[in-house]
Amino acid sequence: MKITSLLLAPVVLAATALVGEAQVGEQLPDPGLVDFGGTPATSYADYTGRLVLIEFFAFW
Amino acid sequence: MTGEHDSEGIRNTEAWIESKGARYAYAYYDGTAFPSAMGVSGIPHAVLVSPDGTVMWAGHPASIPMEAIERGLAGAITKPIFEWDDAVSKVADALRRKELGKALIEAKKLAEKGVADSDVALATVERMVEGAVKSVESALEEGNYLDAWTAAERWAKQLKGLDSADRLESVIETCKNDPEAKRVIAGQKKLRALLGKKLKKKREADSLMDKIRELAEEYDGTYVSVEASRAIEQVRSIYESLR
Repeated sequence: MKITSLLLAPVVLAATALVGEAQVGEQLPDPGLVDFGGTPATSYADYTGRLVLIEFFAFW
Repeated sequence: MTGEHDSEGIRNTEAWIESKGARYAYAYYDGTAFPSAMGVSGIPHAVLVSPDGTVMWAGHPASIPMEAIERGLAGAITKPIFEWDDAVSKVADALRRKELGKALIEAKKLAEKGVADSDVALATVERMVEGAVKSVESALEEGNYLDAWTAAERWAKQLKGLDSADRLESVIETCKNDPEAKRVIAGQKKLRALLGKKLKKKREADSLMDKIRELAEEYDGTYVSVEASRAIEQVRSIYESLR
């Protein structure tokens, strides 16, 4: 199975939770990502045509 | 963490990637616009994006539906465009702008000239066009009329004049005029209007689940009930973290 994963670091934490299907079916807004690592890609648009799993992460 | 895209944040992230041996692509964003737009208010949180840039699913990474992954992979390209030869950069650029129609015309021209990677580019664009249309048709077949209609409208504009556009117009006609499709679309809109709101308390989650169940019952046997089941799973996955 080929699936491209994209970890996003890091994320603001908040004491609330959300059922996240509100954006399903809509086009992903421009993520404005920079400083890509682990890939020759330089923008999110470079992943056009691929199935992408974006995971927001943080560490502490 | 805020102000995360600074030298310390980058240093810490790079060290983490190194220490964990992570083989994922990763990137940074500044501010909170992107996570806010994606409904991220805590982690873990993941978003599955289809090859055409549509958000297919969002939620706890442990509950990604396999059927969404399989559906997305069906239309995905195998060689990323950032690995293509510069000779086909116009095709790559059109794809980056999600202009499938223009990409197809340009790829055909370059393939006739036989430039480097033009065969890959043409095959990719043709696959993406077919993938986009098939994805719309699959959504229609499974009764997901709302997403089928939205995507069909978007692609039909881009592919105007091409054979694929006729298939998309057929989907649009069904979604607009079929009584069952209209009923399900209304239900999907009602359900999605309930979602995307921040939950702080368990009683809010209980109330939300009751409303979702009511909709699932009202639209039993349709795609609304499928979406409702997923939504309830998501609420359950975060329930214990609520007050």
